[in-house]
Amino acid sequence: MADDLRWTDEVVDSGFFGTEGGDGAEALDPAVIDVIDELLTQAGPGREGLIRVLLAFQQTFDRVSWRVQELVADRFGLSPAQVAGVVSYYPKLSAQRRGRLKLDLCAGCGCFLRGGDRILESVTREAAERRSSADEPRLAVRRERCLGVCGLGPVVRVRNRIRARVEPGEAGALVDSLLGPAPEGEDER
Amino acid sequence: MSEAMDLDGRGGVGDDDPVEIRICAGSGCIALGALEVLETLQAGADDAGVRLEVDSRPCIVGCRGFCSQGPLVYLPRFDLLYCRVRAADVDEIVQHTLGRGKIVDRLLYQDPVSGRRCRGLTDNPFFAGQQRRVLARCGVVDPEDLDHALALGAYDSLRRSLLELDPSGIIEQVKRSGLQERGGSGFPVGLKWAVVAEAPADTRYVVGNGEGGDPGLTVDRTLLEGDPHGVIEGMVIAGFAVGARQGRLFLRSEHGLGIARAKRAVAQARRQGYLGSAILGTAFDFEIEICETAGASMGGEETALLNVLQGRRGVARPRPPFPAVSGLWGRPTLINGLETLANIPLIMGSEPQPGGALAAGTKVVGVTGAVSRTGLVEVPIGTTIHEIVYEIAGGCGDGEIAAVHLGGPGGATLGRDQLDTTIDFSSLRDQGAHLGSGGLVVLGERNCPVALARFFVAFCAEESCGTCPPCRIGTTVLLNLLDLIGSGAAAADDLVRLERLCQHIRKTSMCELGRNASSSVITGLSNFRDTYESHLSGGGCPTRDCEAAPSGIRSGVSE
Repeated sequence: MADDLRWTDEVVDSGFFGTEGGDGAEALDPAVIDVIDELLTQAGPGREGLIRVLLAFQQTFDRVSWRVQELVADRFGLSPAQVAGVVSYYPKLSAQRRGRLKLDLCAGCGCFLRGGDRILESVTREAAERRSSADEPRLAVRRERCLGVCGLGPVVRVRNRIRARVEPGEAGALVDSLLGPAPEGEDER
Repeated sequence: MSEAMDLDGRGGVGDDDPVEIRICAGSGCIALGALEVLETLQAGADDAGVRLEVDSRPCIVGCRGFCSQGPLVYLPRFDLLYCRVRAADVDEIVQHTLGRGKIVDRLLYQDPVSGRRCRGLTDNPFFAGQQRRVLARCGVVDPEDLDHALALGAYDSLRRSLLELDPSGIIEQVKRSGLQERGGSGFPVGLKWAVVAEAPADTRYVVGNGEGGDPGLTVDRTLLEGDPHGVIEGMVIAGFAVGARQGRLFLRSEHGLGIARAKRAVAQARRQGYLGSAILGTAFDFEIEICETAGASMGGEETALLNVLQGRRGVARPRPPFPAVSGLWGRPTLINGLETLANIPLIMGSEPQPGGALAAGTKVVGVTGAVSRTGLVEVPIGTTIHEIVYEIAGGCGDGEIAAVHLGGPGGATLGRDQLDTTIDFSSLRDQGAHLGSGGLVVLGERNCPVALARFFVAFCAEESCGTCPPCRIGTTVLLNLLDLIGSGAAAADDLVRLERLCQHIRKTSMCELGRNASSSVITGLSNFRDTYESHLSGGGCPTRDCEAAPSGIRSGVSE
């Protein structure tokens, strides 16, 4: 269920997640309610499961909106402020959408020494260009602590595939490869 | 070596001999196309009438640490290692090697130092200088197959520990082994276990800490991807020894493949009675739950980690009380790194060695940077940095090595004259260094120690939980100062300020992250004073490395 809905614009913009300024009182798609219920019931009784649930929401809907935070708080018997405190602390959680076309750059030491910072610079610049010229708000450039393949740096992860030994000149092509349709067999994201 | 060399002195490989072909399927080799090689090889091997071992099932193995040469294909019977294999090479391997017993010369690893081609593991300097004990099964066992691991000795030590020893006997043996915590300060493991076991409580926990502080090559990833059962076995023995019934395996979410394999391994172990209730028919119950981080885990600082596991903000707290006395939900909690846990089955596998012969043991070191062969290597404690950098990693090519940085973000930058330092806890401490997560970064002539220090300080500033001001404010001010120096805009008294600030942060921070945050700068200042000084007064960076670092590098993890 959650897989089918993941990353579709309909879900995120269904109103329930509070489009900016919305109060979340809009009518709900029953399927979305099911997903929320499913995610909430997967957690155990204790606070221990809080971060796991928040990560699941983040992954499914690209953010943990205020409305969802209230629901989660209710579920765990916490105040919304306590949940907001957790969401705002962790880099992988966010109340705002970050964009669903993700390009993950390794910011680990091995990649840094092989010029990873230059890749970061050029990819960020290319992405910003596309975002304004192609009106593509879905693009997100993320820095990961380390993608774990230090021998091959600098590495970039696009559509769940790691590209090894990236050159600064490839930045534009990498960003463009995210914008096109996903090649067969590759992750849509 | 002639191309037409026969394997085993025979003309070919007979139909009745199953040839085991191990394809490295760690995340590095997969990124380079190992799975395509596997598919093609299987199809090709079937055509040639040669069966793959283990019922023709794909024989994938975990990481061998030689990622820069992946994808690796290894034929153990002939000790034949092919590097950088592409799907397009498979036909030649099948026809030439499997069919006619010849070596495909161009797929052998060529040592850039001597120009010699290496046939297998034994004549490859990267492997020959290692002593693989903790990683013994990585690259050998199929990490997704418990039966394969069992055939190679997994859970033998658990059996011995549970059926032949009592908890105090196990703790005694760990103490006598002299094992020290592999990450961080090298605390004696047996002592830690004894404290947890003796703390009065009805419930105790074991936490496997897979958040090695270093953003770099980590043993955690390799162990999880290559031999997850070794870690699980260590955890179960630890649980039995300290009287815990629950374990948490705390893993970085970046290590997706490792997490998936760990989850699978936990499920397999549970099904076969190595985990769960009544383990091996005894009255001992133990469960392992896998927890992923959401980032910002303070580089694995213990008290912060406990907060994350309890669903809170991952901030550190003052110690004491130590987690061994008051950890998860106030209960005694044993926290050990994954490499430490993977050492446990080795120690418990046999009778205690007289005279603490195991005291030394090994250390896994991730070598990266300006060397010919980067990768993850396991060396005996007492090996010198020089041996690792020059013999195993093959040195710096034509250039000179300018410096090495050991121990990750909180580690130390050592100069060329300190390369004879041995990898052991006390001699590193003498040099102001520590093993940390075991990252060994080699700087060439074009890498600037100031830029590297800045990189690590930026890591600490980002990771800082913000609880104590010396770390929260100090690391940010330190970073600004380093930026000033890097851009050539600093004056001589800025170096004095830098030095004083480093000492303040070191002396007044609450936890290890803050206490070590400035150590790359402190050791840099003492070993590379000239380099820092040449940055001053409009001089700029002599290697131009600093100027290349964009100022945006520390602006948030996400865009």
